[in-house]
Amino acid sequence: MPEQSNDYRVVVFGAGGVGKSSLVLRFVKGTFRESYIPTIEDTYRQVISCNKNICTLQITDTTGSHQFPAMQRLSISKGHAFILVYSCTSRQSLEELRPIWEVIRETKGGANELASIPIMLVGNKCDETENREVSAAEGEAEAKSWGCHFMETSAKTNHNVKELFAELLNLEKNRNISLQLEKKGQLKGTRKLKEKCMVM
Amino acid sequence: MTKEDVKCLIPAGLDGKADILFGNLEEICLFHRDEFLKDMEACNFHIELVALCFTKRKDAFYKLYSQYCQNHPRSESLRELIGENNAFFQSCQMKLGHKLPLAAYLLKPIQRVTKYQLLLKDLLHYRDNEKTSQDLQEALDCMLVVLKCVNDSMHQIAITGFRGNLTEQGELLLQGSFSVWYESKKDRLLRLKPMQRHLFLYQKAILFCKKTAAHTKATYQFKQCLKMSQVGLTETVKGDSRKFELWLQGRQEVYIIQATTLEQKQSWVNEIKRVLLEQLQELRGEKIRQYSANFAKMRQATSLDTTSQSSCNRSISSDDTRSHPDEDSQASSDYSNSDDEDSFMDHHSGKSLTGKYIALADYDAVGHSEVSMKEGDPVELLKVGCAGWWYIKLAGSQSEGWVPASYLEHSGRKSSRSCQSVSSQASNNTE
Repeated sequence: MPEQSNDYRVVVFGAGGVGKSSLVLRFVKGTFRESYIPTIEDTYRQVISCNKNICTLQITDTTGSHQFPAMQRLSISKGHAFILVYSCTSRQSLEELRPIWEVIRETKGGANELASIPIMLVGNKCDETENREVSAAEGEAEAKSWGCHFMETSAKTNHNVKELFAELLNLEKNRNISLQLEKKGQLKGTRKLKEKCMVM
Repeated sequence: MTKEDVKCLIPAGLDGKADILFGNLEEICLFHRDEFLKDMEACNFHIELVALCFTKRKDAFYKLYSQYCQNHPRSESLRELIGENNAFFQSCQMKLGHKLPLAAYLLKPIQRVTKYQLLLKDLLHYRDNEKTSQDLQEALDCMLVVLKCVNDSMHQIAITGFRGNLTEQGELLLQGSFSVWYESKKDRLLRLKPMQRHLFLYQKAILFCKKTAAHTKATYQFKQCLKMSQVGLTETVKGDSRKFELWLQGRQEVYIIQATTLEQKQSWVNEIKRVLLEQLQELRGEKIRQYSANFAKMRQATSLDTTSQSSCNRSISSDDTRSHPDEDSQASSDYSNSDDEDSFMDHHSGKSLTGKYIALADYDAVGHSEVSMKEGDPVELLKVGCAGWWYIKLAGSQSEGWVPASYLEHSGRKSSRSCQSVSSQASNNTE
């Protein structure tokens, strides 16, 4: 059982070019970069509320390590929650997540322990309907087989980005965390969230 | 808060353990500040010089980062023991004005070393000429090899129960998980259920370990060690393209090894072949002539073989002897080396071997000097090296490099059924 701290650590995984950094940047800074710039920054932070205290949401980007499981394990061991990103336009990128998922499963112990860890499978670039290779239903089925949650997002159109992080924190049952410290009006109650989460 | 005040907060468990907490972070920092950064600045935006900065320092990168990564779990458990949120860490963070806690910064070198390759890949997009592109590709290959080696070295620290000395086994070449079946002629023991084993391939030995996941750390419990000087390899096993076999004493003991993917199998088979070829090179001499004399007899036995895969399993392996029950098992280990001796003989008898060849099977290049080819690719032989390596050019492209001669067949040849030496066949055709 990891000790309670003022940091909540989210680790983001995915193959190169699926839009990990875009998602994180969109969330942290509200920006989106059209042209692909490989990640140089490694860790981002955002202030959130946790058990009615201020706490830091720390987002660790693992770009570049996805073929090197032993090194990846070092990022995983400290993570509280995980986001596994693929691109809806690349089946390959979904398939490349499977070994990462297995590393998480191994590192985080048995099935019971794993069930309590917030993990979200995310199909990014859902705005690119013409190049789509993976349907939402397929993504959801994959998530179900891994026993984790699923969402489609677009960092470009800002679709479901904030919702992704809100939902991920919602899944954390050990403490009561939320994005409530955010600027007002960004989250309009849980109902809207649920709706968006189900949009396929 | 003064320096003294902060000092009072140092937890007892941390005293004198700075080297565990930080590992060789300072060394990494000095390396970058005094060498790597200076070199980079001296490049003055010449991309080929930038590439060289990486290529010439690959050993330093490997040494520094494998040490750092291997220490990181120790640092982590130390921090866990004394608590990430203890007053000392918190006041240090505040005093230094760090936005993130210590753990985030300690992870940074690991995140950073995996990024150099991405930056190099990106630079490749903006290359301005062929030479630059080659230099960048070489630098990229170097950094990927560094990562692979760092990654592998971290598995290695978790091996328990091995009595010998790991450093005496030579370089760690590959590691990975497999399903393994064991068959022995001695005790007729046949297990239907495979064992899950983590294999470590060294230059001189292959280790079979059992993986045990205890909490967050996996350990590899040592089970079996095979000396590379004693094993034989069979590349293809009927019924499953992901399987290959290692055997001892003319198949008295057979380890059937199933990879998770075809790619994994291929890279292992290639690497094992390479190790065996290197051993062969050391052994060549008087023995070669003896082998070649025997080879003629054995060829007749093997040409009867009709396995469809035989065209791609010749260089080191015998065919799966289970499909030829009449074949003498001793023969299989003997002629397993014959192809390469043959090409070696040709090399020395001075016969010209230039000409057009066809690739018999897919070959994935290992390293920069080799070239990949697909089954059926026409190629041109440029020169014959030693130990069965030929330097070829792919027809219709600029790609040149080394490939195992056993993967090539002279384009004049009709049948690819038998697994006799390609080079001797080739010399017949060129006459």
